[in-house]
Amino acid sequence: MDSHWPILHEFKFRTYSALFWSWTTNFLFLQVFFFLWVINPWNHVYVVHDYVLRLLSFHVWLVIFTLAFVSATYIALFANHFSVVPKVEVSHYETLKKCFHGKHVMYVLCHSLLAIVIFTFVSLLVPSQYSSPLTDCSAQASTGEICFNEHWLLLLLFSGFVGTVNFIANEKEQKYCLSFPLVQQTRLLYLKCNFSTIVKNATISCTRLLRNFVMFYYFLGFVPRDLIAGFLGLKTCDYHVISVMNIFAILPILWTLLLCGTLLLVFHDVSWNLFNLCNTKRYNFLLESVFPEDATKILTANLNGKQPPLVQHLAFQHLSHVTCHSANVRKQIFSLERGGVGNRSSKWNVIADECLLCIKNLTNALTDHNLKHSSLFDNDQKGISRLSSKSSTSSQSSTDEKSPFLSVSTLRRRPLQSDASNSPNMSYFDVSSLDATTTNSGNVNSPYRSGPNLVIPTPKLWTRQLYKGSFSNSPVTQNADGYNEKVDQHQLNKQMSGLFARIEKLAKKFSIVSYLIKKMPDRSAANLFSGRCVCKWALQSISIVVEASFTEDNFGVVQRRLHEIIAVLLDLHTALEKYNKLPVASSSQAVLSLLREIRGLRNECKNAIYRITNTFGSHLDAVPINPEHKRKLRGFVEHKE
Amino acid sequence: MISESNQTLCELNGELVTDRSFQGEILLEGQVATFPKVHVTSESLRRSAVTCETAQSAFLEHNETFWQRLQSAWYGHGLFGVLTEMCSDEHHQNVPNALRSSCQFLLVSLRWVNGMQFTFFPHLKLSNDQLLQSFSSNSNWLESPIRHLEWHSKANKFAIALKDDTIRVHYCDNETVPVLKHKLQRNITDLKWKPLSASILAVGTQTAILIWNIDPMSMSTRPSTGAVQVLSYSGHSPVTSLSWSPHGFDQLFACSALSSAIVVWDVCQKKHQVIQHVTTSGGVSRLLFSLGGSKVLAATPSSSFRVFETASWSNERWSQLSGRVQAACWNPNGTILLFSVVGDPRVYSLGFGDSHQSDKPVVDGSKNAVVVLDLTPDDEQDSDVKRDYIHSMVWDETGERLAIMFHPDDPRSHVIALYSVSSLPVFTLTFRGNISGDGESAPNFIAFKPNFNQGSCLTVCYSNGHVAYVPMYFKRSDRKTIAKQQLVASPLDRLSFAHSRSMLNSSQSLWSSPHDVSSAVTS
Repeated sequence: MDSHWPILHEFKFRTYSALFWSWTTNFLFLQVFFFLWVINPWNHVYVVHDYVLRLLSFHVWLVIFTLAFVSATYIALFANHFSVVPKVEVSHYETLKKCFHGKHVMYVLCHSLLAIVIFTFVSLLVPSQYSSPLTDCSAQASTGEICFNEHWLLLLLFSGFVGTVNFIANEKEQKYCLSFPLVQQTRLLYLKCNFSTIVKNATISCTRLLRNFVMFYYFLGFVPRDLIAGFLGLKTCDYHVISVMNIFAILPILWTLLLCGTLLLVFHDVSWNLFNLCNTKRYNFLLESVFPEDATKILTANLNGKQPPLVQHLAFQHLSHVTCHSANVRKQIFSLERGGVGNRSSKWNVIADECLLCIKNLTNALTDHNLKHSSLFDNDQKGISRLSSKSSTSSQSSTDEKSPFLSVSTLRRRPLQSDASNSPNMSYFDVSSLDATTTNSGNVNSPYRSGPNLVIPTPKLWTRQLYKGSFSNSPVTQNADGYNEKVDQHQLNKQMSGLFARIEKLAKKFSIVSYLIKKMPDRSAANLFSGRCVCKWALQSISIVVEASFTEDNFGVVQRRLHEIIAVLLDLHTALEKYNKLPVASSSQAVLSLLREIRGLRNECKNAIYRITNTFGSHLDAVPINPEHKRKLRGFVEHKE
Repeated sequence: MISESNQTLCELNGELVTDRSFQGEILLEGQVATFPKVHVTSESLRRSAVTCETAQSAFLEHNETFWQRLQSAWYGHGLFGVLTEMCSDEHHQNVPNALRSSCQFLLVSLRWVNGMQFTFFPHLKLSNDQLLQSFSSNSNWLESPIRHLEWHSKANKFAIALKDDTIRVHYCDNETVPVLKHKLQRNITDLKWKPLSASILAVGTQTAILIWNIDPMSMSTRPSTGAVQVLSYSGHSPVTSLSWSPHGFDQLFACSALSSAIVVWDVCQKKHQVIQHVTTSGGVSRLLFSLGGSKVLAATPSSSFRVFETASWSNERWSQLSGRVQAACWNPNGTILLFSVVGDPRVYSLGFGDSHQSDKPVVDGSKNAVVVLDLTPDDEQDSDVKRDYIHSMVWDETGERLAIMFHPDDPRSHVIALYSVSSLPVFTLTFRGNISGDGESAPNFIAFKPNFNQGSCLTVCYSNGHVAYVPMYFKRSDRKTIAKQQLVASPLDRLSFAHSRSMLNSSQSLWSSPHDVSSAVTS
């Protein structure tokens, strides 16, 4: 996947661009920092004079130049460790596994080391008590005896602490996941608009970290101090830097640590923001090209899920933008191509396919999740009723266990990756058709019954369920010769899974194991919305194209699939409405942020349907859709949703 | 004083009808007959709450002491609140003049620093009420019972913001009137319905933005506070103008006259992004998107304004105006911007390129504004009187009618000037007449109803709390969506046709629309 063209060319170019801008901005920040560094409250009259004098030194410029370069290496770390689609760990075990993963530990060390290097350069900027590990043993007068410099240790420990904690906190909150901005901005404008916010947030974070660090050092600081002093063969001073006895001596130390910590966080945040900005910048994909070397840059070739996530996101982002703002692009989408059998619009078909696939995937995931939760809820209810009434429960539960495949809810469940149009198995078909045949059988004139998707509950309908389930000796399965081999393999898998299930059940008896492997519902729910950006862009793109087709589509290429598009949008709307009824709450900001996306997706889905209903109005009565969808669509036409 | 019979009822066949006898025959058959009858009296308004509302205030009338108010302001709005309270005119007896001046200086300095402005502007010295009054579309924001009115772009309903800081939602097909109240809903400055949604309403207030979700099917008249979402960004208050993305995305644009930042909100995530700092203008008083959403005007308190192109957010700046932009409106294509400035009776026009037709959209505005209308009163042609003339200007979505409301200082403030607009072959404004009220009250706020089937409908909020509708019946030539009912001529159409032939000498050109509806469908 790394050999994909954007990874090789565009991504590298964007990363280098971010690197250059990071160096430039950090260089400017360092000028301001240096001014604050040299401020001496006792000599405030000569602050500007001192500042200018020190700036005349070659040493200072060399350190600033190098420091800006070192701080820009954050970009290199981000380039190797970023994600496009957020994914939260669903259990404590997975969280622990991730924490102790070699790659993760390595990045923690890298960030910590980089912070230490930056602080070391900062201490070298102006000769001070933080510059050297050696100092006079007495605080008051020079006695000639050399001791270990605790100020130096304090600075380095704090740098490591800030670097490590900041990385872990950001990693936990999924901050290293690219976030696509609402409005594209140039780098300079972005920095201008967000400079004050970045500095403010960095200062607040640093203050919090400093508070924790000082408390830690006050109680346990002697351990690293003695260790390192022993390692260097130096004697420790007879006074303590952090002590309640000399509060006034602590203030300048706190100021220094706060200043350095803020600078480090500003470097980190500016670098990440620049990296994010450069790599989420809209890429101009081509809609068509006569040159074969451009084949990989064609928009329609980059929309599918086989592409790297970043490429797919950029492609959908571009599609959403151009369909909204460019009439010429829409004209190209609506155009017909000669060749093959008849004239057809391959661009529109590919765009529609990919957009609908994204939407369907989300709908299926939500439906599966809803069903899983409702079945869990049902099980809980059964458990409660079993406790309350033994006799009645035993008969009820035995009935339920024996006939899971006869319940409508089981039939309605669709596999995540299933594609109804390609599957030979009828049980993959739309659930509403089954409802129509079971609950509304009297309605003979229903278009859904008479249409090509007519579903009759024949034995074939149960095939996949039997294949999945326990009735392996069913005559239907035995007659299907092609399935025999699969059934054997399936039985083996079943035995293995049964073994694992027993082990798992045994392990769950230990509370600690149960705690670790128990899946947290809010986190598994949050992962449903990890692909929200692509889904939003898909909804926007397809609805805008459909809206524009009313006046711009001269050949009617869009209207051929209008019923399909409306059905998919309404299905998603239904799934989102149902999901909304499940209560969700979380303590993690990253999880909450993902869960909040349900509102955004619901709004976007409604927007997409309203775009179509507002444009087509009562003409939608002529679109062949099932009665349930028609009823829902009526609500949108009348602005009642 | 205007007599009662001069109240304008509608525009028919190009003429304003003031004869009350027409009402029974025509208006009851039209869409306007379904519009809710709204009359907000001063007695029906509850007492405006103090800065920090307590449960006690719901039961007893009580006067807070100066220190209590300071305490409330501190808890509610921090240092800004305390300084504002001390500078308020109500406490000039409690606060020594020197302290008061110091507080005023400190407040102005804080506003100046907070707004990230490089130069000092006089509006920073105004009190909050004066500030909102001067930048509001309402000509008498402080005293008017109805401060703002916002029609939904498609559904037949509107929201009105009242002086008592409540919002009422009126439906055309429903008697239910939801009343929206929230403790942060103070000094409402703007209301905006989300374009592709039937339920979401954004409210700009003194301190924050509130997003109400009002279920159109709910029969509840008091939506709970769970139906509201608060968006707040430090230093970006008061929110003087709001605008949803015209493309229907979940993006809300906001600006403040005290802050140079233009902010866009991701509403569901409650995340904001500053998209521009207009640092040389003292703030951004108003954001006005064109109907297609391709351009947006950013009016400022200074004598300059900017127009942004929304695909790339590039902008162009126009300066050297004689004052700040007071009123502005876009034509439906987003190719013409009409604006007027404070202290100038003329309406200016700026032309723009159609960015939808190019692959790389740019603002492409004409260099100089052209005067298209001069509203100098006849008796002031040679005088050097310097005062405000035009307060508000609205252009209907068909692009065929323009209404202008005058400033209270202007002698014509009791009427609304109505113009018909034609763009082909050249842009012209033709005076149709003055829309008058009942003679006792002055218009404070005007807005056109979007999606009016039979032409345009101007909604006027009067100073006595009355909401009046002035329908203008003409054939629309911009219909994209063709409803079934339009295929059959409505009784109103038949009546107006007959009326035009028999009674009035109307201009026939109004009826000869370039795209006939029935022919468009059959083809």
